[in-house]
Amino acid sequence: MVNGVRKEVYGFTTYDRECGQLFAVEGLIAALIMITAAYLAFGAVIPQSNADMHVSELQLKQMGDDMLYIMDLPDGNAGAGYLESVIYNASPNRGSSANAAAREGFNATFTNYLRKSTGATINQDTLRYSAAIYCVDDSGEVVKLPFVNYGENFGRNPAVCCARYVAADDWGLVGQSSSDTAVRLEVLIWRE
Amino acid sequence: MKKLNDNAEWILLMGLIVSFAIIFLAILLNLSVQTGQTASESVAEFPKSQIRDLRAELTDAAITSENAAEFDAKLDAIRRLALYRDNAVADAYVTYDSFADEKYGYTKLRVHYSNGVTEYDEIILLPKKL
Amino acid sequence: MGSDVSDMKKESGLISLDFIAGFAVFLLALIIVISMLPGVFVNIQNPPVNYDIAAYRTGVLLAEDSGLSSDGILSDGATSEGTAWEQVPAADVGRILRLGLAVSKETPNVLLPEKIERFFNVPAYLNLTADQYRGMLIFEEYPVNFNISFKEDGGETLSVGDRVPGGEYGFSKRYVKVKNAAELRVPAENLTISGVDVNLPEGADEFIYRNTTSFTLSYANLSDRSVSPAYRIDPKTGRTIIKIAGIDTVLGAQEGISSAAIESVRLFRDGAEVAIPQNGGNAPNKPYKPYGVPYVCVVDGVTVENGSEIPVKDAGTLEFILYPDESYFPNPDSMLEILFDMKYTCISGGTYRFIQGETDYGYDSPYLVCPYLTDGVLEVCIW
Repeated sequence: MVNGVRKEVYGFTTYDRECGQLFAVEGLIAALIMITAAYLAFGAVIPQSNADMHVSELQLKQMGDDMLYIMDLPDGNAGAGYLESVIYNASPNRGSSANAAAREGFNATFTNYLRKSTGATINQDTLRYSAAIYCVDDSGEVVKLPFVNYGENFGRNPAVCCARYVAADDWGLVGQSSSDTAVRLEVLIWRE
Repeated sequence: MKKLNDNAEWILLMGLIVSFAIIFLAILLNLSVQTGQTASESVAEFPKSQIRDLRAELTDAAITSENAAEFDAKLDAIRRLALYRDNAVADAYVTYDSFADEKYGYTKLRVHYSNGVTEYDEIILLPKKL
Repeated sequence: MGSDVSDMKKESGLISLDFIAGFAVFLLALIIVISMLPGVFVNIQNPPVNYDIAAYRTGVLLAEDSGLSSDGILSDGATSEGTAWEQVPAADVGRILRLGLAVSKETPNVLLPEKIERFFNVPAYLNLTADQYRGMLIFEEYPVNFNISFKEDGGETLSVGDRVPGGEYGFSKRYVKVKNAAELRVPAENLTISGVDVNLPEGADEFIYRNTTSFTLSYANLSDRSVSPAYRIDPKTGRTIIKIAGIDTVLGAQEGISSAAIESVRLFRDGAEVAIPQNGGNAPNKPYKPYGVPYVCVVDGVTVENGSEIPVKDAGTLEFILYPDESYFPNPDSMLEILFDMKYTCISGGTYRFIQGETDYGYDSPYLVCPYLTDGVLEVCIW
């Protein structure tokens, strides 16, 4: 290489060989390092793209919570909310006909809410839900009682869970003692 | 060997410095994205409805129950359901006729909720006309 | 080391081709890397407005907040008390800081009809512009389009804003309850129990008899704190309704009464008469007039113009609606009295049963229909 000329000036033999400057090679290596670093580093930045998914679930959750809340809200002072009467009739010790009526009543009210709209937007009737009641049995264990299913979710559609504690008067499982207690009504809502 | 020519190495060094700068920048960006995300998630995941629900139900129970035993029966069920279904610790303590002023007698209700991330405590005064 | 000096001297004039090539490659790479940076920042940058989040937040504000107006003296001389932004006169719109429809913060999703009417401008009163809605409710840095609609069960859809586009928009739906005002439903016969003897003056063929009947609202009773704000009677923020039913079966059935009318309606606050300027007046301390009047009388579904006599002899139902005003109860123990001045024309002597007496308007009244809630739905679209 051109640099080889310098050996005339200096008598160091070692310098002779190492004075090959290789600027080009070092420049190339530096460039390689920088570009690799840039690719790796920027590739590792998490893009913010899962926000939309989150929002649609947020909407469903909001709607479900609202529905359960206003169904549990008494229409007049010192009255009981609609959910309380549903839960009262849904108690297993109330008998199967009362249970069926409670299911039917709840389903009619809940689907009515799901479809409710002001008309400002196109309301697609694609919401489905599944409700279950959780209560505490005599031994203190939490028991699940399936309540109402509207549509089937075969595990494909993301669902949100909304829950509400409801006062349950004279509630009891079949063959067990009944008391004034509270149960938890859970509703899974999803878009078909 | 002492007199190794390092004239060309500064280019390599510059390359390394720039690389480190880039990596540092990327880490910074990542951190900011993550904080943004966790902040928005924590807003969405704040158990607002759970706390409201618990509060409403316990307030109701405290008003409708005539004594502490009746209230505790309901509270016990809620406590178990919250633990089993919501992975949350719910608790309450009620003091009937805690104090009174000229017009109202007050029942004091202390509500506690914790799901490991969010902890919530409140003292609710329930006025009852004397 | 001393040799370095001479080394540099010799090299000082030389820039080798090799160096240029290496440095060029390095610079090229540096430029490429730097040009990658803005691309990365663009990816990171949020869109200026997240419409879904904006819609969610707007929905929360509307359904769970009661709004806010700044305290102080309004242009009509009345004082504003903060949460009752709906009572701010149209001239003082700038005083409204935040719009919200909830009855109170403790009762989310329970909306006050007075706030709904003002918000959706039905009837026209505040006439807020789109920019004002943005500034008082949506709080976005960039001007966004919006459509907010509300429908009470069985009612018409109310809406403000632009038409919802076919494309993408942020959406939030809130299920709500509407607080319906309390009503005092008094059967006329319960107000006409005792008889009054009337003798026609000598030679006259008719006799004008005047009396009053009053309804008393005690704030100490109405502001009962053991009643949730969702079911509380509050004439400061919600309307007060009195319905007297079956007047025709009592007054109309008495042959000797040729006509009966309410001459005037007067309001007494803590014993002092509340000045009620007639339509269009702008006197200080005037009661809030959402429909141009502080109260309205409806006889069998027909609204009677204020200031004129209200004939009631053959009325099936007389409905009296007093619109809310914060000034009606300045103190916790204030009393408001609604006084009807009645005038009867008798054409023969005898014992008559006139509408009379003092009736309490409170939770203990046997005639009271307490405030109750009805379903509604609120939708917010932002794009």
